Amino acid sequence: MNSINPIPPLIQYIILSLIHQLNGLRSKTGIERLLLGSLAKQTLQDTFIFRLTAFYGLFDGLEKSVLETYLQSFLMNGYLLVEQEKLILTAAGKKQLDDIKKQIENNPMQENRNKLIIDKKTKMRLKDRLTLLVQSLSYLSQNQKNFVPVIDQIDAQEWVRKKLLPYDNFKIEKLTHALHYELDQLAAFLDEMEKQLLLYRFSGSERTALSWNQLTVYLGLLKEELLIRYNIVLHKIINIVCKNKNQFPLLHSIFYEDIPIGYLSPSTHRTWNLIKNGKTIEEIVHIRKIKANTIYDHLVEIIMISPNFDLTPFVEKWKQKEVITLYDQLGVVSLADYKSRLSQGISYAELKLIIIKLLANEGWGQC
Amino acid sequence: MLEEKLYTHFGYREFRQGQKEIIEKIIAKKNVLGILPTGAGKSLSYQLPAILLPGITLVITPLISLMEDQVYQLRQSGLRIATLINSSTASSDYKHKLIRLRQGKYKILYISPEKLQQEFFFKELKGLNISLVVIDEAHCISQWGHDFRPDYLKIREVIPKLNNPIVVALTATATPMVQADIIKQLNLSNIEMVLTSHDRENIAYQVIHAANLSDKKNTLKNTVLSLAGPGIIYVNSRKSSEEIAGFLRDQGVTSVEAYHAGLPYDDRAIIQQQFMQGEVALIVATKAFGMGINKKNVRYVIHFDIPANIESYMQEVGRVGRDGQQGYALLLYQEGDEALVLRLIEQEYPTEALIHDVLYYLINRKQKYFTFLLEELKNSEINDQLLELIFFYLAQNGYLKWKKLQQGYEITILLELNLANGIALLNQIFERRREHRKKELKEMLQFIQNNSCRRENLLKYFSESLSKRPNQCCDYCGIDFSIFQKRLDVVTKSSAKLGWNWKEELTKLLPIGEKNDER
Ligand SMILES: [Zn+2]
Repeated sequence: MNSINPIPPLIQYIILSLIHQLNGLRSKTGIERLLLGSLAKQTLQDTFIFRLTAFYGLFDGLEKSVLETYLQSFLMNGYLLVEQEKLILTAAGKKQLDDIKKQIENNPMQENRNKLIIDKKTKMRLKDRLTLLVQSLSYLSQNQKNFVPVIDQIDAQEWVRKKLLPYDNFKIEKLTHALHYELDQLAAFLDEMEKQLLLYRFSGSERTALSWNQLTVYLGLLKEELLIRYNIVLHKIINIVCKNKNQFPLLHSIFYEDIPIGYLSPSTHRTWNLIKNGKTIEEIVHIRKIKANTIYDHLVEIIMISPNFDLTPFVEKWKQKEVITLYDQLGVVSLADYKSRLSQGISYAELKLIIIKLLANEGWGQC
Repeated sequence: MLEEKLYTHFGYREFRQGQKEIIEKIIAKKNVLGILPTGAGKSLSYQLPAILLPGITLVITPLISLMEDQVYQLRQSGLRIATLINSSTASSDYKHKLIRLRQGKYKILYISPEKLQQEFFFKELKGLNISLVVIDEAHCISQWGHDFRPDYLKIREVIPKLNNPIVVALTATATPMVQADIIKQLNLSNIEMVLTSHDRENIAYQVIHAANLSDKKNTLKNTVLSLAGPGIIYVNSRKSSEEIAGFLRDQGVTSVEAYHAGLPYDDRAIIQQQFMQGEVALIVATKAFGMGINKKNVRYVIHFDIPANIESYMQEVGRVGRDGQQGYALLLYQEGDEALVLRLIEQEYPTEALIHDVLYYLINRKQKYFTFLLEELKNSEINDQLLELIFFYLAQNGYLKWKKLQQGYEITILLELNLANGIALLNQIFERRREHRKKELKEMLQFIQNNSCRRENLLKYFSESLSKRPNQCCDYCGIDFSIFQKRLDVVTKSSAKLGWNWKEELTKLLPIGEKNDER
């Protein structure tokens, strides 16, 4: 990243707006992790609790040093300042954010429509499988059986191979039509640049995809902005497809068929199995020889993907009620604000579980 | 007889130079060392025997892209007989492939050398009926080769355990010294050699001396603008790959892209594909480019930076004219260009400080047997390659045994190490290796500075002499440049068309409706 280039408005918007929403609560590292899509527990919980899913992992594919340069320049020109290691948006920063918001035409960020935490693997799976499926259908529908796959991921190759079975011309034609149709439907949700980003990264029998450098020239944007916009497109697709599964059966199968690794970490998986066998937290502490807090973290992970999870065996009804009442008044703010207004008996871990469950019930995190 | 088989399976009427000799020896159950220049059909010389022999042919090759390319090429000629296993093969895929191998569904198995070190995999290999082992890029086994790989040396331990199959070692470039070393390192009795000339008749060589950098860039620009592509420009660093590509673009070269290992994976695949498909006419690349690329109609290679040795130069130049048509190789030299290569040579071998840190760690571990991670050594210059070099030479001198694991290394100490002696020993070895590399660079420089036929000089390096001088030989013997000139009727396809239309672009990728009916 060369410092002569001014920071593109969209990138300014993303960073300043994220810091605005976490004003004074998180350090530089916390902000960086969220934008880079770290899988750290704290980052995932922040993303969920503060409903920052639209920001999560947007800088995936960029060097961390690039993000650091941006933050540094915001600190230098007074949009941000650091207090007790936390990043704060200054009045000048707030004004810049408001100005920038007006400057961006068709702002691609849709904070409220993006309710999923999209991790790198899901994104890669979508990109690799879809790219390879498009390429395969493109060649096969022209009866060209031999081509060099642009994706060398075995997972994607295996998935596409299976998808094409039983292999015959009828199947190819059917799939080509289905994918063409679904992508066409998807286009209704995307603006022109997003459509170009999507199609120009696909390779087919008539032309190969464009490299990022070529797209930079073609679309007249910096590479950093392109990569971020591409992440936004992928996030958008996953969100749209999840919300409209019936409209996009083929695209939906891309990220929900043959998922090699479960969403839960192996340790969480073991905890879940014990919970399904009716074990209490104390019992699991004893059996697994891990701390109760770790088990609460596992529960958070489980609830994020399974909103029907019954909390009652772990948190008494009255505690849930009290938090829900407060949630209706306060909405989402930092958990510390909650803690001070609740009865002493409600622990921080319990509070977190209830809030996560509330958000999960509102559709955050679900596909 | 063999010609008939060649025609049935591959559709060619006759063999190319060297192929038939190698095949005949394999069929007669003799071990072979074959030197076939790039583009001479190296792979066919084991693929045909693989079909004719009863069991499986195991091909050991260091390049994954090369494996894929070979499997793909065979499929393209209707031969679904080959598969590949390397470290990135998924486990489900791996099991599936093993079952099919046991059932005899494949005749050729491509593997990367490090797979041989994995016990569970090797056990599987022993269970298969292997008739032939092919060691591709065999010069990697020689410490004097330009691309030495310690894991190649494990091959010789493995071969006897596979019920003594026939062994074929193949390489494109090897001096007599390297040839002798390959035979010695493989430890094979009765190995026969098939040598074909390193000469590539259809390549014309030129060296241009530039006064300074801008002169060099200017010459490059003028050459590129006048030549008919496709072409490859080789540079020695990622940075200059980007810089030169940008410079040429600014100078009006329309279809040029940078390629180096620093690009994201997707982009590397895309640019390779664009080059293969003729959508990009010119690539400015580091030596990371070209290994697995089988593009037949590359018309020229330009070296903007001095290659590290004549073998690398020959290999890179060898990518020109694989279709047999006339090609052109230009080397641009500016005095002092070798300084960067000298720096790279220094970095290629462990420094004394690094040797000290590794030995110190090994000695203070105070165990006979342990596993070891790279991170445990708090040394910033360490990497797998440097560490393996140290292990390799310690093993060669009987101090330890080592094995690469999925993560880290397994070490068995055999002889007690003394820090000072150890450092002295390794320092001496690496100093010798550096000297050898410097000598190679000097020979490259000599080639550049020699005032006589380039082709004869190249052949002399491989202890060969010229048998017949082609019409387009070199800048000393004369080149008719008119045949390399750009013709105006050749237009490269371009991937981005002006004027964007979603529906059109989508239909181009996924054709539906009338377009299908037309066909
Ligand atoms: Zn000559």
